[in-house]
Amino acid sequence: MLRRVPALASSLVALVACASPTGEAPPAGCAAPQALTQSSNPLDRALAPAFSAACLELIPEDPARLCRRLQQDLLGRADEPPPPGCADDKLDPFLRRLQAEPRYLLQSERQWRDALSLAPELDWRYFRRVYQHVDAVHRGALRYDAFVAALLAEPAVALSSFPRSGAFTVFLGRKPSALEAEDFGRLYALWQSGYRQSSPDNLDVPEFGALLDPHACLSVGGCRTTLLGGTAVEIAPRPPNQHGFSAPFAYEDATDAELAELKKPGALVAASPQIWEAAADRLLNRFLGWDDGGLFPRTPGVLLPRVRLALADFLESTGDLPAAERLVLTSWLYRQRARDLSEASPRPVWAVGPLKRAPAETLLDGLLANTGVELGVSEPRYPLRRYAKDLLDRYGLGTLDAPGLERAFAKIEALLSPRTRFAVGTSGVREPDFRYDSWADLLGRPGADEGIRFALSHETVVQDLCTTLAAGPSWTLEAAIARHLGRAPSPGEQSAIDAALRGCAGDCAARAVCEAVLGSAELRFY
Amino acid sequence: MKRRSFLGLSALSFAAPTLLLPRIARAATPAFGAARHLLILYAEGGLRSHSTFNAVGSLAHNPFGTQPAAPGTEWTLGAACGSADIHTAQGIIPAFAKITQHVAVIPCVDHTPGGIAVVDHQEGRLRMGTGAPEGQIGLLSLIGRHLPALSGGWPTDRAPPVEIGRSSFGLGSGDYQRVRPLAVSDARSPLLASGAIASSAGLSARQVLDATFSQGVSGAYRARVDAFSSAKDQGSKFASLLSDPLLALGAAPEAAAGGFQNRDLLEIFGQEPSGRTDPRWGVETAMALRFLQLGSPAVVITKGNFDFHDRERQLYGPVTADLVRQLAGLRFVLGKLDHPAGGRYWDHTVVAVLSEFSRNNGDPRTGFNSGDGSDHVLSQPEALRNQAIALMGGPITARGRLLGATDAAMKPLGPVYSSRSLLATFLDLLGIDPAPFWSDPPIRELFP
Repeated sequence: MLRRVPALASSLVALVACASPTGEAPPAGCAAPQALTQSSNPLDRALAPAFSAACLELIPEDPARLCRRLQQDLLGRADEPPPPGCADDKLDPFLRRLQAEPRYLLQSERQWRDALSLAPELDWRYFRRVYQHVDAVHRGALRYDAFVAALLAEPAVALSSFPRSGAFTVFLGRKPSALEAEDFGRLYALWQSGYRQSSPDNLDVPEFGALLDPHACLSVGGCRTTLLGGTAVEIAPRPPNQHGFSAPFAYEDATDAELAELKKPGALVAASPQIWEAAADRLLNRFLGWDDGGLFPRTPGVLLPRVRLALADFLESTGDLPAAERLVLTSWLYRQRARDLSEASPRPVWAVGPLKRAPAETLLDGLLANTGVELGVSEPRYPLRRYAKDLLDRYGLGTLDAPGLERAFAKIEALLSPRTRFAVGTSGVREPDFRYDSWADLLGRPGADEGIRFALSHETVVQDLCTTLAAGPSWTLEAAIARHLGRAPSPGEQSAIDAALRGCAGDCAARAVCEAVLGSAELRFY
Repeated sequence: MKRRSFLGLSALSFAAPTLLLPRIARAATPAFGAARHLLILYAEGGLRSHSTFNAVGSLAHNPFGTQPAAPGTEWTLGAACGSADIHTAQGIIPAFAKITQHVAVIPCVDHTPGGIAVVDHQEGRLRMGTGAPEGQIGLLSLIGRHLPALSGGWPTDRAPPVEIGRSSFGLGSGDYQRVRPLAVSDARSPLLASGAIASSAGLSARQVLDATFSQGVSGAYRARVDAFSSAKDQGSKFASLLSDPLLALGAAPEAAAGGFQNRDLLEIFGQEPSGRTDPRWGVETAMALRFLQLGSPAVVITKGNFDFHDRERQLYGPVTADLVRQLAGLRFVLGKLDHPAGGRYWDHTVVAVLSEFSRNNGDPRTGFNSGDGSDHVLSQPEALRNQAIALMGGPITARGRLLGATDAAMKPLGPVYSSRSLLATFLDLLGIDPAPFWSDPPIRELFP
């Protein structure tokens, strides 16, 4: 495919690549590393000019660290010892194995849950509908553009403010203007949340959920976009009931023709040529994680437009999201070293590997691994019991029998109860109600959340865990570092920590080691 | 159209001249910077506020009747909240009905004056907490960053902005993520597992690990790792503040400040058992008051379960009685507490009751829907969209005033203020220019 990179973008690459923090004149161009120029990965070839201009060599990541990074990104946690095949030169088969694991789908669901800003109070059945689409696209059974179209017709999405802002940001890669947001949002004007109308004697229990109110489309401009070609969602009001009212009706009662109307907004977005660059940016941002927010905005697709276009072309031609993920994860952008760089002058961000914050759930998975619970339950949006049951049903995750599950719940409750509201479920059993107090809130939201809120929450949860768990030989420094950080303590660390813990032995030392390791920057960043 | 050619056209269109509009200079209100503290009681779910604070509606809108308010009160007080005094060891605290002359009411605060009414909870919450339907920066985060006393960084000997119960007021993205408020999810439990975060041996050991980690990190990531370490250090310092017994309301009943023990506050505001399905504010209000005493400039309490689609006929009375008890108690306590800057806390504090919207769809014959509740629907939206907002505190000089009017159908007969204007007023009161955030002006009429 012909690649026509705008001259401005090429200049930007050169500018970024040659920027010298010391103010010295940039060196003359060098030959790019052969590992880039002769790579079968189009992203590597697109990266080569930047390395050539900056006269830099590639520094590969330590294989063990690369393994952990890949597992954290695709599965949400890293296993010790690393699985076979991880350190091989050819990563693609290994990545395919990871993507075949149930945890990969869980991790993907988390990504989309946050991208779509799904409201925590939404009914579980609407989450499940979204997750079915997520699973399909991440199994490679659904093209990405079809996925976008399907998502934008889902109640979980339509009932939120996502269509007015997130749809443009996530799928088109830019914020909408106020006019655009209002215009596109009109296509969703008929969606409401509420109760199905109860019978006149009010004996039935009303069911809360998505309602459709065609009357909302009757006002001037209702349910019609003018900026996007006059598309309209056209659904006629239902006949009046015995009271003479034509009330909103439940989404579940919509006819096939009405459902087809509801899919029009998603089809508009999915047909936009911009979705491929936006999808490429999302993948690069997620796996490289360069951006530090407003203070340090670094977008891979802006710094390296050739790479973005190469990935967008691949996505457009294949529609294959998991394959595009593999393309990023096998590229040298991802496989370079992020730490222990001995060079005196700092390398540009594209010449070092990623070093990202662990998302709240990943962090919690790592922390709660100490409870002995087979995890995958650190999902903040749903009552734990229902979520765990769903996981077990769907994927056969874990082998916990009912008493084991009860013990696990009891332990998690004990750990989190000081800051967790409880709800009494239909079974009469107390269970943490994470719709209100999510673990993401306790541990910081995805992104650059390193404020006091995060620090206090993180420290408190770590203290809770270590007060409950830390005792015995598994909390020697060597064992704890090996288990959680995947390495051995250096002699310097060993002696410095021995000195710090002087006068603190037995359970005191175990707890201190637990707090040190679970609260460490090394566990937070991967 | 092919993707590349489309993008080319897009690029051209972006290159078109942009219309630059000069920002309209807006004068601050006379009360700019007059408040040192803001306390918001946020009734989540859609409080039928016009049945208590602007109870002029017909039966469809106020089925509970009215009651006499204190002399000097222009607005109409609903009867549902009762008129019982609060009997405590501190003495008899006058009922809310006897102090209404200290309370200003704005009968029409609407998210979208002249536009389509907001009926969705999420949109209403976001608009009330952030000023925008897709807002990502809440009022508390704005205060945390732009309050002059905090703009150079948060001092660790004073409490920062606080949210008790999760809310959109605490949202923050981008540069505002680091200034999101301190979050308290359960005022009925200790805030920290232990106060030893600052002194544990684990802290020293962690600093060893972090120092090793930090040394080897690429310069490209230095800022992010340093931010983590800095936040952890700050956390240790705040931990000692949060372990103050004043904040352990139930566990330390004798802890005292300003002449009030914790047990006094719980008695004044009410200490209902946990697990009630109808909301009660007492413990949260007591904790909020302690945070104000510890220096917090702003606290938002969010209580859920005000979405009375059913059982409102039975629950509205006790629920609003508890709500106005908080206002009566705050008038009493704030009026007695000496403020470090001089005067009493009342002189420096603004209290407001907010929700995402009010309610409608009451049957004209009963005032309720078929489930003895009310709804939030687009049909005849006036009662829904016009929240009656109650404000009090020393800086509010329109005491007892009604700033606007409605008819019995809750249609506006006077000015309608936007919820953004209300948020702008809060910032203005705290000494923050709201113009960079919202174009809607502060409500000057609150300060005649």
